[in-house]
Amino acid sequence: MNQEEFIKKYKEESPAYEAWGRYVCDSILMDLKRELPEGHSVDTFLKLPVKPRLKELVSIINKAFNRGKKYACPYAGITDKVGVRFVVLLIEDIKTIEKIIKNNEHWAYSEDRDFEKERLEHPMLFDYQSKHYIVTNTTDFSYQGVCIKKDVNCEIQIRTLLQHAYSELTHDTVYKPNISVEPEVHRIIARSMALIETTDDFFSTVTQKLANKSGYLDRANKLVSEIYLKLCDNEADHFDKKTNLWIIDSLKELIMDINIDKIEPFIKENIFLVTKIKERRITNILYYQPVILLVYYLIKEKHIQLKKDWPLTDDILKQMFTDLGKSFNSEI
Amino acid sequence: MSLLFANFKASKIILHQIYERDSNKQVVVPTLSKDVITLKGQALETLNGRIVEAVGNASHSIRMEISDTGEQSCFNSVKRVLNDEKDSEFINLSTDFPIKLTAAQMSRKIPGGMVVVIKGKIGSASHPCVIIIKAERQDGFTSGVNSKGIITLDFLENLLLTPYQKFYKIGIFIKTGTNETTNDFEVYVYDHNMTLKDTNNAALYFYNGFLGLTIPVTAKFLTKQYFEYTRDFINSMPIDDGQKLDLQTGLYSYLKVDQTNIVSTKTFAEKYLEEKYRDKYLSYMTSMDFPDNAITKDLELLKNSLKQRKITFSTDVKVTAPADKFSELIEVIGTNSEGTTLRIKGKIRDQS
Repeated sequence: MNQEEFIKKYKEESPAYEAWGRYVCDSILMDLKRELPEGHSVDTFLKLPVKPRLKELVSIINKAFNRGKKYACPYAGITDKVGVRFVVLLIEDIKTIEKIIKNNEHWAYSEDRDFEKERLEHPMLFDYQSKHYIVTNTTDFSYQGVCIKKDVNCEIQIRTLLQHAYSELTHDTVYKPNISVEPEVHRIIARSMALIETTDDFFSTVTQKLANKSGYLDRANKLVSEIYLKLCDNEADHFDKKTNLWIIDSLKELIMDINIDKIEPFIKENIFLVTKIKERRITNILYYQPVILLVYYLIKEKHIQLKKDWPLTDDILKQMFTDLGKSFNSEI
Repeated sequence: MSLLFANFKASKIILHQIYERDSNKQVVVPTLSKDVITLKGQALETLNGRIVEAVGNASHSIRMEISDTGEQSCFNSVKRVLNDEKDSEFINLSTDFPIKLTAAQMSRKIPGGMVVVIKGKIGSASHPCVIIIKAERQDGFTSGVNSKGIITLDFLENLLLTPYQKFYKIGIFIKTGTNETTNDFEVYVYDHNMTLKDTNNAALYFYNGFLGLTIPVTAKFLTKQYFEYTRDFINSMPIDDGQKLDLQTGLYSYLKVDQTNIVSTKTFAEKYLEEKYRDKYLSYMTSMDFPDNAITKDLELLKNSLKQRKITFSTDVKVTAPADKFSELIEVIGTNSEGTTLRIKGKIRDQS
């Protein structure tokens, strides 16, 4: 295929590529909306607006004929005629999008070979862990009135915000094929890359630590609710979400320190507690709250600290100590 | 933590009154009640609470061994109460206890009071149990507001079982086995007098003369275990060497210097350990199968360990010193990657 034929074909097929780019972009955004946990929006998850971009004619001609790349068939060989870029905050966020790409049945996906090749040719430029995928249409279909043939493809880039900043810098200033760059500049760039990778790792650690804590407390809350429902047949109108959350929050340091999976076996071993709970809840609404099970378990495991952190009055806790045969006011 | 005293439920309660000996040191016949007491709601919860507060007190209730198993023994009376399935004889059988206790109170110094006998169930497995409480009377006041809106104060002289635990002693027999041997029972005593060395004799009439119990022979082994486990725990704590040395000194003082007659993990935790390590220490001791309740202190097997204290360094260098003056003689100045700086009081006298 000569240059003239190439340009003709590209102009003809451009609308289909643009439509495929929009389709890819729209489906990923739709899946992302479903995939994100409650309270997280796609707009805050993605750090830059996403927009499919068709390669400009000049740059695609350059790539096909003038950059010394020997494509067997340049037209089919260039896989980034249309591209979409997702910029996220954390390394884990990249995985979220990768998962969506891999699970979509409307296309075939592969890691971008072309990108891998460039990475080898210009190690300075691509020495970060950015992910590039090619997604290829598997059946002819029409999207927003444009017919998209089988085998039309699109490149997807996924980066963290820091990786993005790095690549913006290197693209615009360092990667100019005909200008040689001093070794010192290379070295400084390598240092900034190292810094970025380290920072990305730190960001992930911070986020994980925060998520672990609140995740564990959420799980504790959910778990005791399930056990309570199962063993104490709750009457839903006495359940007070706020009280439960408040007590769990007051006791969070203690809860982080225990294995919450042991609560259920503990209650089952001491099934008399269920009878106590049912008796007491008639006069004390606190016993209607699933968190009461957690408190009983803490009396067994952490009674000294529990007395310190307990947010309500002592007489309530003392009664529960008595149920478990523990002295509350032991003098030294 | 075992939950031996959990789920306590009294099924029968009776009160008898006993008196101190008269001026000729003769027994005064107790006033025996002809009826059980019925407690409900708040009152029953409070009684349960008082009993658990005492026997469930990890630092003061002590596991004992049954030594008197004769026909006239307290143990035998307990078995009779438990075997009386329909409780038809409960009132009658319960009178054994005040009569026996009166006989055991040999001195005029020992006051009278009420004997509360309770039959019930305890533990998550609902083991049958008999609880005998000797409660001395206390004075107190009750206040209220009368119809004219004036706050009143009334004197009460027959208060029983207030939260002030010095005024009662409790013996609890729990039948954990299926037969009737002494091994089928676990027995605990709560008596404030048992915890102090110099008042131990004052406790003897209750746990030995009346209940027919002795201090378990295992006390010396348990005390040794207690010392070793606690020492290992301190060594494994994430604190610096100087702090560890202080805690080991604390352990030494607790066993050797402290004037109590019992050893309890909880007391050590509360007296010597920083708050954040207390629960961890207690779970560690429980995981080593060490009892949660107090044990009688018996230092026989620890004589040598408590005489000399030794520090061993990673390079096999060892420093020993008399335990009672350890902290005066050796001071850890600091530790860095290369070594430890100690200051030792005294000059080198001998080398080998």
